[in-house]
Amino acid sequence: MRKKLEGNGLWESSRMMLHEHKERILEANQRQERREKPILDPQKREEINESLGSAYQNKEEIKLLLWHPYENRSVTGVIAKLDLIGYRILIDDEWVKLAGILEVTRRE
Amino acid sequence: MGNSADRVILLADCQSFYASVEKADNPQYAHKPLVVAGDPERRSGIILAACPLAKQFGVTTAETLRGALGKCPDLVVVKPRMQHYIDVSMLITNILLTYSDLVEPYSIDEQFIDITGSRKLFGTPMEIAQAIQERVRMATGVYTRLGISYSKVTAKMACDLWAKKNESGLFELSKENLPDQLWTQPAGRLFMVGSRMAAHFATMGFTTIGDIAQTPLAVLKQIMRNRFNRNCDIDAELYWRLANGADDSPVSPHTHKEAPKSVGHQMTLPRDYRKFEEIQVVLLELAELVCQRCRSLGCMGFVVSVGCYGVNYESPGGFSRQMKMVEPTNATNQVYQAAVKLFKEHWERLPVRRVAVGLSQLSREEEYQISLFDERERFRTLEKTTDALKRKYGNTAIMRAVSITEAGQAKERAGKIGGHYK
Repeated sequence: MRKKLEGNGLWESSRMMLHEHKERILEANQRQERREKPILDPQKREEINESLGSAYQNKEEIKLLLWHPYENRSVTGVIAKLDLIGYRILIDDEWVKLAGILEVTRRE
Repeated sequence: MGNSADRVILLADCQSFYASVEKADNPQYAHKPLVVAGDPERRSGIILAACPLAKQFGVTTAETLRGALGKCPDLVVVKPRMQHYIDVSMLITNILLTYSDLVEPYSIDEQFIDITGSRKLFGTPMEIAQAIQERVRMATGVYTRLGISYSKVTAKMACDLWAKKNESGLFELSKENLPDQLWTQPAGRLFMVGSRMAAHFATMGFTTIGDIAQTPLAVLKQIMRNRFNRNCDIDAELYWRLANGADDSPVSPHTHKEAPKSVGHQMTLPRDYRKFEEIQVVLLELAELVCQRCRSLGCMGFVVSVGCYGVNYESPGGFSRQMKMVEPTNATNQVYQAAVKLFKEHWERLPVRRVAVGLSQLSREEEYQISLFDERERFRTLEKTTDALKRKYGNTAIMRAVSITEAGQAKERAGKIGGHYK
């Protein structure tokens, strides 16, 4: 009973939802949360590679935008190592796969 | 909780939703009175929705089709298409989502939108409401009415009391105008107050919503306590808050994720069932549906409830009883056996028209007390398989043999949503 006075209780206890409708909403929410990995066009790829290369040579601090199925995240730092066989770089004490990098921005 | 004074919340309500969807899909009926009605032969022959034209003839929702045709012989009667209405409702949700990520469906035809953070992008609340109304109409042909306010309950009342009745279908209820606009309304208009409670309020001396709002809460509690001869402090506080427009509940897009407290299914039968053998079939089908849903939720229930009711809606007779099982379960056979036991104990051999089976006291499937005579594991593998088949190919893909007897309802039910045709 008390729940009606707390949180979203008033609305959760009074609503009329068809089970099938609820299922659809949950499905849609889930889909919205989990995203496909975007396919970058070759020019963008080239641009990222160039930025990484020059940042590595000049020991510049960069910010990487990394893909994640639920929420993209970013890493900031100087590239410490390049692993050309494993296609990954060491930045801010973390090995980052090249394929997951969506954007490189230079820190001024 | 943020400062609720700063929030801007809309409630979008679709006018005669099912009927409007049908009219949009069938333009030849645009200027004809139209109703969506359940199947007359299966006793669910009631009006689910009537278009405004039909309402002009005095047709109302929930009356019988026979009654409606008596008032308006030229009525266009359309069978419900529940799946389609859900699709359209989701389409509207998606339109609303382009204005704010905070959208909460309250029913198939009502949704809350919190546009507090959208004003910089899309304009004033009134402009946003107008834009939504126009876009929904263009995309679906459905006319929406929008209440605009600072909380969910005031948005709901702005919509029900004004937007549904005025020319534009839009109404803004502000905190400053509450005394002038809301408080002068009759107490029976308050959200959550039905006709019976309105009569109680009248005898307690509350004529307007303002009367309730301006009574100190402690006094209101006392008055209601005297009236009902019991402690109803929570109800008193609820009405008092609603009357004061005090509702800090959030517009919560993930509200439907909450795990349910109980799972239940009921069926209205096509005719009276008199023999136990027939009712048994329905109990098994209901137990299967309940357990199937529990299994998909990953939970088990401890308490089984069974209800059965006679043909007469006014004095249906029958019973509703529950019992605790030996252990929590979601195995159809175990729930079915408990349901049969309950039914045999309480059934007075009167004809049955409606049967319900439920499971409550739910717990997680993977956390349970292991017992010596555990049968659950034995059922689990089989039921996992049948559930997977049903998910993929529909509930009729695999059925119990009794379901194809004359008493069986599973096949009929699989073609329906909420008791109405898909």
